[in-house]
Amino acid sequence: MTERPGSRVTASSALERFLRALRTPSGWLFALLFAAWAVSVARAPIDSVQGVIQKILYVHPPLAFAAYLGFALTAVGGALFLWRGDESFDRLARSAAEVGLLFCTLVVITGPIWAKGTWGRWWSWDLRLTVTLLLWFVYLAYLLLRSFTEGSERAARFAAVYGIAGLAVIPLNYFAIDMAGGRSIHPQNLERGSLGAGMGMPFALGAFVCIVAFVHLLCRRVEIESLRTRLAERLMAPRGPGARG
Amino acid sequence: MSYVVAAYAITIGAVGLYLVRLARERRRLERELGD
Repeated sequence: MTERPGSRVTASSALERFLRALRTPSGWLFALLFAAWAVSVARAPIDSVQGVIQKILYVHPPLAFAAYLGFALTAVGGALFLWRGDESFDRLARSAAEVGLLFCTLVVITGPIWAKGTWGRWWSWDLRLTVTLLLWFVYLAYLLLRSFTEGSERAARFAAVYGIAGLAVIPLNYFAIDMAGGRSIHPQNLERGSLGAGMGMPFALGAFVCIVAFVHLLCRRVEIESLRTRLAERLMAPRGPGARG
Repeated sequence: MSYVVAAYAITIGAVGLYLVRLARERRRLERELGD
């Protein structure tokens, strides 16, 4: 794929310039929040029912929030790409899917660790767990599709539609426990005031850390995608006595 | 306690490794573009 002429190129540069400018501040914010979160988790009270293993709460749902954000941005980027035809939105969608899948993978790993410590088994074909696995496969398939069809504009358009359709799995995942009608062994979604005293701060910090980490990784990932495009354009540029580069 | 340590270590390790991978890839691409 090559850049289109005119305003689309300007819009593309603006988005990528914004993300590049955000890279360093988001890195510092991540480092600061991470330190505060580590102290907060260490000092958080031990749960009277589950014991120390309940501290996985401060990382497991926040990872899911970051994964949801990644997949939502995949859909937004895809929709903007279909609407405006600007390839920077396609690069955003692809990057968000990859970073989102990293966080979703960590959800799928930390969940069974918590399950083994509390339920005594790594996995259960519970609706929430099954839909989370489905969500992971949906975006793994998205990335495989992108890697097998590198550079194809038609594939980028198909991937955009796929990314928008994949968004439907997120509410299904979030509300799976309610849909299971009391048959789910997964704990209920957190609500305001449902955490014990002293547990709100490490949880909120965990959510902030994961979101800021996501933003920082996304900035770096989009930059790579942009560099790859520049390199591909340079390789495709005509070479000869009158050609530059 | 070991489950908690494992969950946090895997999360921090994976994010750290991904950051390193992105930094290496960026350096490689910048080198290729600079040539």
